Amino acid sequence: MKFRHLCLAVSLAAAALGAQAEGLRVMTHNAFELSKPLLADFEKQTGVKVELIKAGDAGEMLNKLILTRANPIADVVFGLDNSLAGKAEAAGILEPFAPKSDGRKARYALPGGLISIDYGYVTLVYDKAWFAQHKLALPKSLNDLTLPAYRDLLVVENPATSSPGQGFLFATIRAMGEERAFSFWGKLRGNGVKVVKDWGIAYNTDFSHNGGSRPIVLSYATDPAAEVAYSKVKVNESPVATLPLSGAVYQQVEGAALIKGGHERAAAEKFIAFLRSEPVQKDLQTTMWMYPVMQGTPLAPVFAYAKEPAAHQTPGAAEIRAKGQGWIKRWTQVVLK
Amino acid sequence: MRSTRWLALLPLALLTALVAVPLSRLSTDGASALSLAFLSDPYYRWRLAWSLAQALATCGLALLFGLPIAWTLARFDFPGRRWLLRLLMLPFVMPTLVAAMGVLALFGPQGLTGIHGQDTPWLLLYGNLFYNLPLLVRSAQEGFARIPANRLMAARSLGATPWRVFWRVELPGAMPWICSALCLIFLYCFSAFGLALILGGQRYATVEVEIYTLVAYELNLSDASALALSVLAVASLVAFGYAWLERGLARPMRGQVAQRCVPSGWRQCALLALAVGLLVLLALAPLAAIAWRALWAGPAWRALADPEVWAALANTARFTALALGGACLFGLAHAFAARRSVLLGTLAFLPYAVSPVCVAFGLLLVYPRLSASLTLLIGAYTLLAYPFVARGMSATLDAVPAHLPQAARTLGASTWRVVWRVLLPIAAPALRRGMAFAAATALGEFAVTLFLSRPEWMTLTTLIYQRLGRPGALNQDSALVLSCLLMLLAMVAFVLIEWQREGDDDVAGR
Amino acid sequence: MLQVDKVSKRYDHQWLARDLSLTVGAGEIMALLGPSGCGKSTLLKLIAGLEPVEAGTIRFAGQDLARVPPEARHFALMFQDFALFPHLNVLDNVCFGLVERRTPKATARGQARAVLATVGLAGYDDRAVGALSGGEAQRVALARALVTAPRLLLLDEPFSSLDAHLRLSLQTEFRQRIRALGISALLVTHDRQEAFTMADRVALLYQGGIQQCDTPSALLAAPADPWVASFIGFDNVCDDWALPETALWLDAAGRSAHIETLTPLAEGIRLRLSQDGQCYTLHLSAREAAAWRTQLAPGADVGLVIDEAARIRFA
Repeated sequence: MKFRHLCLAVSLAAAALGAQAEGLRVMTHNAFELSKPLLADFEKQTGVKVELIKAGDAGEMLNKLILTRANPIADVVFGLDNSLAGKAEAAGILEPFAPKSDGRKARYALPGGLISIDYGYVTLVYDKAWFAQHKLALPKSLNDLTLPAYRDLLVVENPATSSPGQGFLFATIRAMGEERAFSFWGKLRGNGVKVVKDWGIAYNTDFSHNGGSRPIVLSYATDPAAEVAYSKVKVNESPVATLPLSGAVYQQVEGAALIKGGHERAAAEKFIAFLRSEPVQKDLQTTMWMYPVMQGTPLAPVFAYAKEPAAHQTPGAAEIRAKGQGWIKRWTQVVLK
Repeated sequence: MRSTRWLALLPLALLTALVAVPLSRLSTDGASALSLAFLSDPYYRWRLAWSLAQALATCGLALLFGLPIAWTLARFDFPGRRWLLRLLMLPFVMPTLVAAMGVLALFGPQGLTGIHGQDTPWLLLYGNLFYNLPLLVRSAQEGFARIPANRLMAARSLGATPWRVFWRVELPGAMPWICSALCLIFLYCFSAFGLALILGGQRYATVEVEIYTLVAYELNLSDASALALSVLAVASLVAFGYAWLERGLARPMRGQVAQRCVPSGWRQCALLALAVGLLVLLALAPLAAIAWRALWAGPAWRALADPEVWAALANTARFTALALGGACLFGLAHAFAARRSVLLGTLAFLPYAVSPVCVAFGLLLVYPRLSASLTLLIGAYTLLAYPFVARGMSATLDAVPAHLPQAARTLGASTWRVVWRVLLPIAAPALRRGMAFAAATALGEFAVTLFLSRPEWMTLTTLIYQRLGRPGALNQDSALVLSCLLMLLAMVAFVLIEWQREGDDDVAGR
Repeated sequence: MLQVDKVSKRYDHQWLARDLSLTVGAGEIMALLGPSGCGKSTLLKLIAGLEPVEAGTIRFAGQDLARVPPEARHFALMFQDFALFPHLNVLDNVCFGLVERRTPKATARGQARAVLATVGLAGYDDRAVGALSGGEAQRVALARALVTAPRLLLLDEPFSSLDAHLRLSLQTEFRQRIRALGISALLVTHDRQEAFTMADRVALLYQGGIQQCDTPSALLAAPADPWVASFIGFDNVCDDWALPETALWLDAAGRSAHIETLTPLAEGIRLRLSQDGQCYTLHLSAREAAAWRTQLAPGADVGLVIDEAARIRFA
């Protein structure tokens, strides 16, 4: 008897769903994270309620925005980067505006109405312990990775489903030129490169540091710092290190923008200014593991373990917009088909 | 009870609003004309063929391993049997990435067993079995348990050996349950991202991954819709085939069900040990590995003090409860409406047959205002959970002799009172089982994260993925700790839902 | 009380009832007798309202029942398999109808216990129905039907699953109990013995229609046609006449008949005789058989007397 009453009660509860208030709708990728007090302060100071909406990976998020441009589902977006800027601009979904300057300067700028917020590098990361244990010298260039000594040691993300994967492909093309880059990829395929869907899979299941079999993973330049910060015991040295070979460093500049047709314009502008404010610029270093774009922002101490690569091989946004899709198709042809 | 057919309007409305409309909107919006041109691309042909092949192979393997295990669980009684059956549903709850970590902790390059299986086909199939074997085992053991004892005895007295009885009486008798599980396994494997993809890399991507790429990264809606529709066609064919088969197979069961016996003699004990061992190895070992690793995670347990974790726990519990309520409502309506209707039986599988990516993007187009609302989120959870209630219930309702509701009518019960006082109590065990699976689906469902989500809706599953989205040992460990918490929560849910007195099982069979 | 008027019902193109009319009076027990599969159970379901009629009307106490749902008819239907609810114990099964009629729980339990006691099942309250014997299950089903004081009791082959000995004693008990309560009852059976023991009147159902409806004695005295005559147990039936059992006997003075076959039975023997090219069946009691023993053998001739005055001629 009781069981049936329970069923009835549960069904009724399901029918009664709460309504919700409207505020500033901020769309972000899944990796967006800020310390909670910061957001609460912003809400208190501006009187604007912030509704964060996570829309998946950055590329997926952009496509969701393009698809719903007739009836936008957010007012402001954070997380579009230089590789997506061209596509966003072409789709005409962003509302350009000039943020008020407070005297500080941004290190990098983005085209198409995007206001730069932070930046980082996609690069190869290796497992120090594995290389020490196997007494294998580190590869000196990308081409070394096609040699038998480095067979089955690399795992990368699919450029068709992951932003770091895409960045690496673009960097190889920038460094070697299109034809040589694809011939390199062909050789890499022959040498047992493993391609997985996204970063989470590559880093958590295939990277030898986390129980996988591949000691070199395509990841981010800040990983060594994060590994120290999230270490189980206090360490003075990171268990992983970057491998900033030429053609394997891609700079990612992330930005925020107003969405065309969105509401709450004033609040949206305030939110973008907030993202560039010093507290957020400091905070994002250890929450999103990116470098602050505003000059003069002090770096977190743990970033001593994450030196910026000396050089990077990043194609311009215009070139990516023109050729990016074609490169990915060709990559799929060369590496997967 | 022909008059209950109108109840189908309820689930049909849900399916239309959350599946049919978004899907057709996406395909009309993106495609000037749907073309099957992609079929000429050998790459897509290979993806389709591989999806089909791995789904069929998983069905075959699940049958091979699952039948003996299910039979043993149905015929023998042993301490902890019910707990084993509950534990069996935990793989359902596990996020695929965590499951992959569990599998690799055992059979990875640095695995506990010392067997290095990563990137071999064996580990892929193991991964598929891990998720799908429990479905077959639970379903088939129920089927075996319902076969009337006198039918078995009649077969024995007619000269059949136990082995022949299995082939000629028990297997055909349990067929509706087995087919139902196989159909579900096929649909899961065919249209899911799957563990195989994680363990084997992009070479083993299913066609659903291609659809995901086309929609989420290339915004190539025309090819994506065409691909999604061809997947839907194959899946619907399978679902239809099953529903048609089921109608022919389902008939009221009469007579006392066979009693489970305590195994006696070394043969029976060995058989039982073998079955339980196999089950533990195939379905539970990776979970144990996760728990083991979490146990040694030390500082990561401090993560439990984080209010975020408790909020996620509360959200998970809340969404699961809401989804369960929805699943009951729509599942019961579907079950009462579907009685012996092939079309409605097929439709119950629709949520598993459509591409979640296409539905997620279609929903954005159709309901831009609702796209980040709780209503839609719970709707999505309900959509994925309710078929479990619907299928289990309709199979049981078909097995209730027509005389019982008729007798109740003549004793003064109206149609609704008959449902309340006769049909629901008789089908309660099936309802409970369906609800347990629905809860498992809702607890572990990651596909809904394809929809827009809000940080305040953080569930344990999304929290686990968030932790795994950052480098660092502490993050991995806390993901494992959270996975243990998720398993614990799932067990609590299963115990609550399936709470019943011993021997309350299978009332309808008598 | 119950008036079934020109009711028709088809099932898979076969007529189960075709312009069928029937009345059951107040306090009357009526038996519906017919061969297996002739649609007797369907007729009960039509009356109970569980299946829709195609044509015709069913009335009770003058009220047309066409739009009255089964639960509002206050009829109780007892099924062949008793249809006891497996999820309820004996007492809750008996209480079922009372609860539906909004009887307070305590009252309902009291009434149910009282009825259970009258059918000899006092103390069975908490038993699971799966653990009852056939006879016990049948009494529970009867108690469940009677406790709601139905206006009409519909019984669908209620004794068919019981053994012969139990059946006989329960039939008498049933009749007395229903009689005592003064309830009208309609009993469906394929067993003429059961029909004649239980019912005030017997209606013979064949091919969707009532062939004849009368008291058992009137039926035996004047069957309307050859089918009725043979179905109610006449051994010697031809196209236009039938001979009651009492109308023929062995007598040395009778005309000679040839013994075709001789079958020993539990209570005597059965003879098949031929006389003037006409075959007759004759049952002899054990006593008669003993008296005639020396002359009875297949192929032998005996004297057979036929009482022409008793011969029934069909209209």
